[in-house]
Amino acid sequence: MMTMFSHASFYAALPALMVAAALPFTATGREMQEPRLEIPRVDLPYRLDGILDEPFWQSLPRHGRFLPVRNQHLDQTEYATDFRVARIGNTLLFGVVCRQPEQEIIAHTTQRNYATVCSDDSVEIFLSPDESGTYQLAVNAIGTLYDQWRPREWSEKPPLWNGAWEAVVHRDSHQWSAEFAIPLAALNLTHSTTATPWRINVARTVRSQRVPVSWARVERGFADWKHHREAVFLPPAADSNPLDLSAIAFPSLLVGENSIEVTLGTQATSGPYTVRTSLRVWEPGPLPARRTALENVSVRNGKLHFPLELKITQEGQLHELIIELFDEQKKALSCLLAHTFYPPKPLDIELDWPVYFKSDKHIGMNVFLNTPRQNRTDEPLHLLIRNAAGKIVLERDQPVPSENHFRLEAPATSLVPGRYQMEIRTPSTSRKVKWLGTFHLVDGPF
Amino acid sequence: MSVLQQPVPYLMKMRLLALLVSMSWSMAGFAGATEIAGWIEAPLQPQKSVAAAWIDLSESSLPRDPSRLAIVVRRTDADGAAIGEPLPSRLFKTPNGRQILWQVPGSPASQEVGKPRRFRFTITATDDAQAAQPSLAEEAANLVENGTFRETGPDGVPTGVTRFTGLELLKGTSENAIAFHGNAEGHGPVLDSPAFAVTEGQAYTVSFRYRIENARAHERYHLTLHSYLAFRDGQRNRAGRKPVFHTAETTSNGWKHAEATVTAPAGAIFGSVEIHNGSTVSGSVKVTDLRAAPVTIAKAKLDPGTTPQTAQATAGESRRFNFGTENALHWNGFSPASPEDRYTTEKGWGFTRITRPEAFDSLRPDGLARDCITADDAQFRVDLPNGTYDLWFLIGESTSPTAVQRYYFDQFLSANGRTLHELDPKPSEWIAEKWLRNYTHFWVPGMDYYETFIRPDFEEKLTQVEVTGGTLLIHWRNLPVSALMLQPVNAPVSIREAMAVVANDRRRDTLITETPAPESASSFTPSPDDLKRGFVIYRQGAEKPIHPTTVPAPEEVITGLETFAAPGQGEPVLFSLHALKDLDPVEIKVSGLTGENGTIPASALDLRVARYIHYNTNPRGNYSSYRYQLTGLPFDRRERLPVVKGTNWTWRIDIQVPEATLPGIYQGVVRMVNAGGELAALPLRVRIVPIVLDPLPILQGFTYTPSEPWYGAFWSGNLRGRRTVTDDPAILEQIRTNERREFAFMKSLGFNSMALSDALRGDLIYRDGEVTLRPDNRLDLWMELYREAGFGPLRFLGSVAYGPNNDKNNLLSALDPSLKPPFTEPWFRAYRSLVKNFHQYARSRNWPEIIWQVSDELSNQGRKAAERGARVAGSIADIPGVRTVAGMNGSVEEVMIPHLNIAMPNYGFPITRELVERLRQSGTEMWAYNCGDQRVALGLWTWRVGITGRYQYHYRVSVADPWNDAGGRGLFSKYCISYPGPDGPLPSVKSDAARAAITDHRYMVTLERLVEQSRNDPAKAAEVEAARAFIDDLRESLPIDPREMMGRNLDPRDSGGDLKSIFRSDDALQRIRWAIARHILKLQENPH
Repeated sequence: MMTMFSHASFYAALPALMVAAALPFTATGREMQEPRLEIPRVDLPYRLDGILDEPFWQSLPRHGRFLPVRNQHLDQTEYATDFRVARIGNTLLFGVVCRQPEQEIIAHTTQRNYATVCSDDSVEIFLSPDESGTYQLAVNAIGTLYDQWRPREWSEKPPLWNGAWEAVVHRDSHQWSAEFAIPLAALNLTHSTTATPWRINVARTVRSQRVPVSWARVERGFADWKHHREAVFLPPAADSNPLDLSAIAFPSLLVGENSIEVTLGTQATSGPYTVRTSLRVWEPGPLPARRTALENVSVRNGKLHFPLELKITQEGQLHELIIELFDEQKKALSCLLAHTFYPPKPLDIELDWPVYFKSDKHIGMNVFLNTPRQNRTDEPLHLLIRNAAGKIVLERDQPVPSENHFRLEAPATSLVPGRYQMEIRTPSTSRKVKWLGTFHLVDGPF
Repeated sequence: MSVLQQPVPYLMKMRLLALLVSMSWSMAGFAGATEIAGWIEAPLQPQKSVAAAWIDLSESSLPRDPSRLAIVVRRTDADGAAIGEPLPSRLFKTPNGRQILWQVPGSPASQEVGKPRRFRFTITATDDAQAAQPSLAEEAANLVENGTFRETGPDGVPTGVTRFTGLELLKGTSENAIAFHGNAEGHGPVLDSPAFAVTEGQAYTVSFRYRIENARAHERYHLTLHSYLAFRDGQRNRAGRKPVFHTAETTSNGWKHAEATVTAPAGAIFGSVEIHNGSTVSGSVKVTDLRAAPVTIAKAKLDPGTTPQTAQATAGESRRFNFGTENALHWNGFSPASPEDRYTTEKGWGFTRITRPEAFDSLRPDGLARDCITADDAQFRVDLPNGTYDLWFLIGESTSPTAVQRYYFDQFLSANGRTLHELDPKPSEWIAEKWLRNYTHFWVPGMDYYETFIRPDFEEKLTQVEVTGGTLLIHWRNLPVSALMLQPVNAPVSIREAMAVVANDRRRDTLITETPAPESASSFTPSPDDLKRGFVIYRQGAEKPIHPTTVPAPEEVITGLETFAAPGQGEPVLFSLHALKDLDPVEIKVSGLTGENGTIPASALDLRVARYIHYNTNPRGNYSSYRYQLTGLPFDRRERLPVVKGTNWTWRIDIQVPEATLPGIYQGVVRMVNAGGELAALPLRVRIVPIVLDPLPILQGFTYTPSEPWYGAFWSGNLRGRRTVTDDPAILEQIRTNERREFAFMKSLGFNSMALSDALRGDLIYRDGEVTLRPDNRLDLWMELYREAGFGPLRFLGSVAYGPNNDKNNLLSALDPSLKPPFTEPWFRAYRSLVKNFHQYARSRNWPEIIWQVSDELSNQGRKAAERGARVAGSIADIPGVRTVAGMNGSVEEVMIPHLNIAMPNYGFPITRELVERLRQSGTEMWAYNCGDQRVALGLWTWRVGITGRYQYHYRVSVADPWNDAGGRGLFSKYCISYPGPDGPLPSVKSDAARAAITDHRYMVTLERLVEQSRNDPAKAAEVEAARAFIDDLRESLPIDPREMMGRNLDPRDSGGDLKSIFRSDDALQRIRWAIARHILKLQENPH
């Protein structure tokens, strides 16, 4: 889990890292049957703030005995870890407490879904509702999330799963803690229910000591599902999700007005549904409220199919789209779907040179146009060059080819040496997107 | 240069090889026989495998149509008789001889696995074409069953693949492939081949084919695929693994071949090919055709009668010994002999005396020569019947994996009291010649790597000796003896013939692979004129790699050369010739340059050619084979060069502009001539700009380790036969000459400092609680030269060995038992005295300031080590006149910053805008190290971040053989900016980048000074504003975080992508420099 290497030593250490990653964990040699984890139902109000101060937490069993893996040593008093878990309504609530002096806490990753979340000081929860795979949900000590679906076997489904779950962390002088709220509707329970045992693990990385600790006695890493502990819900309930979230795919979402079609398979007659959505630039903390986008969406031919209009205004930022399907007949939340993505810059330009010579005759560049088709017209690309005094010295329209990536060359023969600002506008009807850049033109050495 | 002074001459070796080819009577043949029969051997595997064996057949005695040879291979019973059905097999011819391939059935009994099993074969000549058809489809040995995944079980999983999670089988017509499911963690899933038995110490060639399409490497590892040969012991526990191949390719443009040679470590019983996906995109990485096979292929044993006279003499009269380490292998009839093999009467051979023995195993070049034994005094006894014997010695060592060359003095070899060799070379000549022995081997098309670089490292010694009293006593001192063969003079096969067979076996046991250069993306089509001339002249960006097979891009074709420079500046121009047909050897002639204001003499123009070296492409730590890519890195002088169709030469003219040169345009001509006359004349134009460049405002240099004979003189661990060489006054003079040359070269690049890595081991003493430098320490010698060269403060990196990095092998603790363990109170007192006394000594000698490096990359050891570093730095923080620095590669080392004068992070720290600001506010000076060796990283980035010191690893990392990179550790050309030559250092592509970087920096600070000086001059207001705008634009466009600049995107999913990559272009940086020069010239103009 090391990220700090010099250029040379990184590659020198890489094989060792890989060996370490693949070595079987040797926390214990035990093969005895671990007792099942019981998940009680509480149904009391809570506030997701990372602090386990609601009274019900104290009534829940505390699960400790986290052991270091790979024969490593860790002071079990100074770095003790424990967790509690309960079902509140249709949400799984985990509270994890990590003893650690605050000045030792190391967590730098602020981008969601960067794998380095898990090499920061972090806590990870592994949930296997059935034998099809394992959900991995992680939060680092500054509240950045990471999640993925780890299928047992190859499938056509994309590996990156984004869940509509929440985690909030809290730090104080001698420990840090995390609360996880995992709606059952965010998990694909098409083939499983809460009536059958799940497999669960809770794990933690102590960054300053470079020691991973695990609650389950894993042998092949935190995600070693075969050694995860069995967990049962008390009282048992037959919650399952009729909607199949596994095959959903999203197109590339661009800055502008995106019209997309969402299709979900379904195992049973259900609905009609109300579709609620939220779309935001992702930030740590609880999920935002959703607003109604569509009502009375019905299952047809075993598929739930509906359109969505999504307006995106910011480029380059990690966005989070949540889709909530509320079964109006059962009056229950059926599905919580999350999708995270980075909208590319609507218009990106790569200039050939930082400094052009008069003898070049052209200002050459590569153009990348990332605008939804519906926001594009036959309107040409508009190019404007201003000199240092702000005076327009070149203005022209450039027909846009159908490709998103193309070459553009602006004539430079009439330009005198100096600093220029170039502005290029896209043929977007909904929003004029422009690119601004600077180049310098000089007489060459000859 | 050879170890022995009376070697078997090269021509004789060639004659022996010729003899080998002609001696058909000593090989198996059909003369007088209807079939050839014998046995072959292979270790049993858990599953079926394909084994190979050499068979030396007399080609002249074969049937007229040798393709009509039928082979049958069968298993054997306990008595060696053939049993069972014929096994699939084939007999075929390779450039190195004929091979038998046969299928070895898998062994279900685990206790049998790995044990050798014999098979009988018969070869018959037949007119039945059907009978001569091979029954085995495979064309090479392979221990991996079902490596093409054609066989699948009922569950669809390829047979033998036990772990199939995250993998998908892709079906093809003749073979299947495996696609990997993407993994967001960037390491996995993993494909494991079925395990196969291996022999420790044995080298294996591992290969597979891969295809990558639209992959995305995980940000942490930057690899889309990485692979290993993984080993397990008898209990199937992991026993290490060795890298095979890794790549960061996102698209491979079709299927590619990956291959490496790996040696099984001690304790390894099983191996498996382990391929890891590193891409986060599912299905983007595919692999097939997994293979593994031993490098050394055993020879078939022929039945008596089949070979009228064999290469082996009768047992009991002849002996063959392979000297080496304890785990040495049996190789083609040679018995392993290690220093532990003491003589016993039962055995009849062994060492009767051996003092200070050393046994080396270099893993290369072949099973016989890879290891050897040297000793201060070795006496090896063999009991033999009396008679006259031929003795053959193989003497030499492959120094491949070592950092230093071993030097042998007081060499001696005798047999039964008869001196066979005695030599005590003069240290100053011996070291220089030995270390640079391959300098003269300039690559030209057709060069044979084996004959040039490998064979000359070993000497063969042939003699006769009389054995009386039943004993042969061989005595040697200070020689690396690798093998001994002895046989009666009247043996049926002469010793020379046996030598020729051994030489042939060794050659085909040596694996040499050329890694082709990347295919050019260019669609260049030569014009009819080009074709008629037979060449094109082109110029590619200086940052692009130079290979002999690169095809120029159309826009790179040139008709002239142009550049600009300031007086006193060194500026190179490069141009290349791409041959469209064979030409007579070409010579380049460069005229002086003439301008309206004077001339630049031809003597100021240094013409060199990019010399192709055998750039090591083996994975790090993989020394079992020779794998190289021809790459032009050093610039050397060579008068004429052979020109062969399809190959390139790149020349570099370095213009050292005399200080007194007046501004203006200077013109000359570069002529390309050969025996047929002038081939081309390229005009060369240089604009001299009237700019006096400001000095570099920061400390800058590379890590520096003095080259040989420094090691031999002061470390001495690489000397055999002498305790020291410093008693030869010429050695010290050689060191002074070397250092003066290196320092002058570094100064010519613009460096004003360096990081000295020598820890001065042996030059410190501990007495009465104080640590001091010995009066006659080597730093005295070196620092005098350093000061004489005019360098500024020195970063002393060697001090790290005494500090918090080393809690186990701390050099300070080694000075006295009372200082063990380190970091106790006595240790801290001693450390403080070391630093204080060291600096007092330096001041008394009037040396340039020595900046004490406390630690280096403590983040690799974690928080506690960083805290230890802070304590150690804090313990010396109050010593007056001592400035301290730490090289830091991770943020846990931030705890050290308050105790340091200088914080020196590398790119991994990471260096961010916030860190720069934090350090600025803390008052700690900021340097940087290892942030890339590209021109921008050493130059304008340094200016942009505003650091005051910039260091980079390494000026020239220590290696045993600097002119044989493929035979080395694979570090040299990666961490080397100048190459050692007999007349001093040679510049290189990398040293040109470093010099250009520093020159860029000097141009920029010159402009900044002029802007500042002109800011109140109304007549220059417009130009000041324009220059400021340019400076601001450039500063804004250069990233602070070097990872971004180096092309390691901080956010691989960010659509912004690697927009900073333009700064990697040398031409783009040259344009920036010219724009700076234009602003300088404008500001220098007198508007009145």
